[in-house]
Amino acid sequence: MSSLMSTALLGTSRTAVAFEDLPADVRGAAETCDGDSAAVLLTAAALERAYRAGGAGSTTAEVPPPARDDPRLTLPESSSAHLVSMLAAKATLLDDWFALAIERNFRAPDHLVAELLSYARANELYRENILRIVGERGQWLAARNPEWSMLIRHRDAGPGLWRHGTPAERLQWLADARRSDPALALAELSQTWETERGEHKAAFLAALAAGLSADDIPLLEHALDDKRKDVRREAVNMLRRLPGSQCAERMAQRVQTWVHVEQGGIVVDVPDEIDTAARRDGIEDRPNPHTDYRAEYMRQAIAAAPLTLWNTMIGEPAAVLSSITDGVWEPILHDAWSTAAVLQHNSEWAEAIFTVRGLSTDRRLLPLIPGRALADLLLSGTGDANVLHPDRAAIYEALPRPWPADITASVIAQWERVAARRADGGARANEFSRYKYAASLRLAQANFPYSAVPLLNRAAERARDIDWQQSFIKVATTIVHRKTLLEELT
Amino acid sequence: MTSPWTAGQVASVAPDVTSLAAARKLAGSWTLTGHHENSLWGLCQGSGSKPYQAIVDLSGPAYKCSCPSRKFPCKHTLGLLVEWSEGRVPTASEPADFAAEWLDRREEKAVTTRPAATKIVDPSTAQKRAERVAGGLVELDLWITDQIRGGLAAMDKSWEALDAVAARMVDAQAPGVAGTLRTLAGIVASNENWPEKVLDELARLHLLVAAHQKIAELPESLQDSVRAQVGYPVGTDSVMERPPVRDHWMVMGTRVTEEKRLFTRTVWLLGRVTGQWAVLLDFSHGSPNFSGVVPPVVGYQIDADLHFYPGAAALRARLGNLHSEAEPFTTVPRGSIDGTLQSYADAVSADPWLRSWPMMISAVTPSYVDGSWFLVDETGAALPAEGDSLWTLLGISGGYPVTVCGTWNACAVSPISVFASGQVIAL
Repeated sequence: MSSLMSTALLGTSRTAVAFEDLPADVRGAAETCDGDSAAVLLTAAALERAYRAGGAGSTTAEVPPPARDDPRLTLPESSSAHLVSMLAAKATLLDDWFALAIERNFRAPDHLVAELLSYARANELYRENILRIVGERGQWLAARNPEWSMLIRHRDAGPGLWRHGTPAERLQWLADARRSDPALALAELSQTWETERGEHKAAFLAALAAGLSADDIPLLEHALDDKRKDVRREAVNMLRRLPGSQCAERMAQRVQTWVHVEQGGIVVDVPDEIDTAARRDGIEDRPNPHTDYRAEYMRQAIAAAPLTLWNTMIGEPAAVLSSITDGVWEPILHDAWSTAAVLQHNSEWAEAIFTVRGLSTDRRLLPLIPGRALADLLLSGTGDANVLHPDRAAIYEALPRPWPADITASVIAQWERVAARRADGGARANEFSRYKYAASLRLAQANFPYSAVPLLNRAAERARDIDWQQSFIKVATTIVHRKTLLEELT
Repeated sequence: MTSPWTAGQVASVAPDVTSLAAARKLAGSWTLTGHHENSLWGLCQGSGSKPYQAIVDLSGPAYKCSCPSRKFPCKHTLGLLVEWSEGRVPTASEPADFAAEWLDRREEKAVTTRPAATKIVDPSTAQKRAERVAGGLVELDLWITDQIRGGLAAMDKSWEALDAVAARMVDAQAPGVAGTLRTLAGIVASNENWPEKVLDELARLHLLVAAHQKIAELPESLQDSVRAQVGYPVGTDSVMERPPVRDHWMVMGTRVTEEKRLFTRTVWLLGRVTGQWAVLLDFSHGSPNFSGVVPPVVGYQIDADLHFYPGAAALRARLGNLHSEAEPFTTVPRGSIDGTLQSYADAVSADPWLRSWPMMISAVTPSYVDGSWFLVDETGAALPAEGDSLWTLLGISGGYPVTVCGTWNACAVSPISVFASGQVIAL
């Protein structure tokens, strides 16, 4: 602290003003001042301030290593602006937009990189897409800012970080390495498995989900004997996705002792108690004391057993589904097979279950069903239930985009009928307000093909209700806007 | 007749990106839209039974809407601009009834405010004012020296205490001094090394009082600087009567700030030929509805006359005659760290109350080292930097040299814009 400063803090009534440490020029001028000591101090301070400001010099600093070149094309200016506003509005179109922009090999302009990284740090939803679009420059910038370290993807592929990093860094390394070199990640994890702290083990196993293969089975089998419950449960979770494992084999044998086929029908005989081996393989003992836990054992065993088991026991999935004789077991078996089909990515089974269960199909199966089959089921309905009825919402969401022309036409036709009823008035007119259809209008905006525009324009011309007329125009404009946005990327 | 704005121009007036996205969603809700000379209007059907009335005066620009939104401009007026920029607004021979009233009022106001500024200052009023200011400043100096005598450690630095002194300065018709005192309260509250800042500011004010006491002995331009610091009003007309400086003025940056509902628009201009800096300031109370000529956007230059406000280090100016339409520029003059420091030293020696001065340095690489920012030139010389947009600047540079335009206050550069790959990017 300068002597002027310390005198000013204490007060000139307590200490004398001293100029010793002032620059010589300022000191010379300050010493010519006389009068009240407070005024002299202020004059000297003003002089010093001007002297230092006028004489401020430069310092020296290191520059960062330059970023590597990104040979991709920069996004057109309008697309960049739209990207920022779509992110702010969390627009439904973003998935399509990113897919196309990345396919067309575009990168974000440099001036948006920092803004996009802050967005990616705060929002997980489009993180990976954003990181791809900001590319090299984004990685370079993220490496400069400690707050953005989670956004760095081009890590050193070597296991140094795994061997010496913090728990969070090790987990990140494992997740990254599973994407680029699953075998290396597995080898490193297997090597240190015995000495890992219990509370991290479950997360490490969960990280194996990327690039999961039969190679991972030995480690997972070994983890079934871990002393921590969360580790055992995570191991079971992973093993269920691997129908070729010994665990799945044991589960198949278990199912075969619990289920018999008599005269073409399935007969279930589940024990009241399960043994230690079953518990080891992940069947939870009496998960809920208020339900029939035998059903629960069955459900878990079938969900974890390979579906091929049923082909050898009975035959085609359709034949298996039709061989349930006891109606009580039907929902349980359907549920268990649905889970198994999802875990094992078995579309043959998914379709068979969809054929039987229709609208009440487990929604996790829908992505495995061909779009045409979904569309046909939707069109088979009649009347109001035809359009975005809550029962059908899951199926509409699973439809491949853009929606097929017949679905689009039927949805618009349905809206027109609703609009007509609204215009006719009457006691129930409120039920036909466009606000009741807000969710379906939103879904349609994101999924209609471009060919919907003339249909919507015609609907707007015919509509007698002004609100509905506006809605039709709005949906049509949104679709046109979407097309423009995507065309900007060509 | 104004040609429709580009999407970029519309985006530049949006308060945030969400508003712009919301504005786009209004497509299809418009009725009775129209465009006449500098005005746009339209009815937008919202959720209520009565549609919102959106009006835009493109000179200014100014916005009016009957919606209750606190955002400004609201999504409806933005939506109207989007409609217009996308060619969906027909031209009409005269504004619709609902728009005409507000537009007329704006026009009237513009006409009536002009003559108000031309009123001739009565010499005796000016004399009276000078006396009141002198009296107030004597009191201020007593207060300042008292603080130094008693010690800054013991000083009552609360907002109330400083505000009381500031209020006295408002009474004494020295609003410039009052403003300094009020900012000081904020500095004390938010700054770790406040003693230094407080001493700086008190010394600065003490110097101002001393200068005001012997104002007649000072050179004329320094007299103007002292008056400006104290807060004597300067008539618009007296500025416009000053000799113009004609140049190709490049718009290097623009910013709108708000303090206590007073909106300030700052536009930084750099003369291509003269190398002189200029700042255009516009104020608007309550909402950022600026009146007058819309300045060109960043990256455009305009052949125009500027009239500088009087002062020893003249910076603030008013736009006079325009000799051309705005056109984009793709090169900028060179500037160096030494040049920046020299012109700052020159400006401070002309006007010791000056805080910061605009600058432009070519070929500097932004650098972030252990939590501090620097702009480093080819020789390794560096100036510290501060501001909110330094990560954006670093992202633009990518470790390569760029041209940075900003203000220097003897401690750090606050970047305003960056010139890279042939275009100016506002920060």
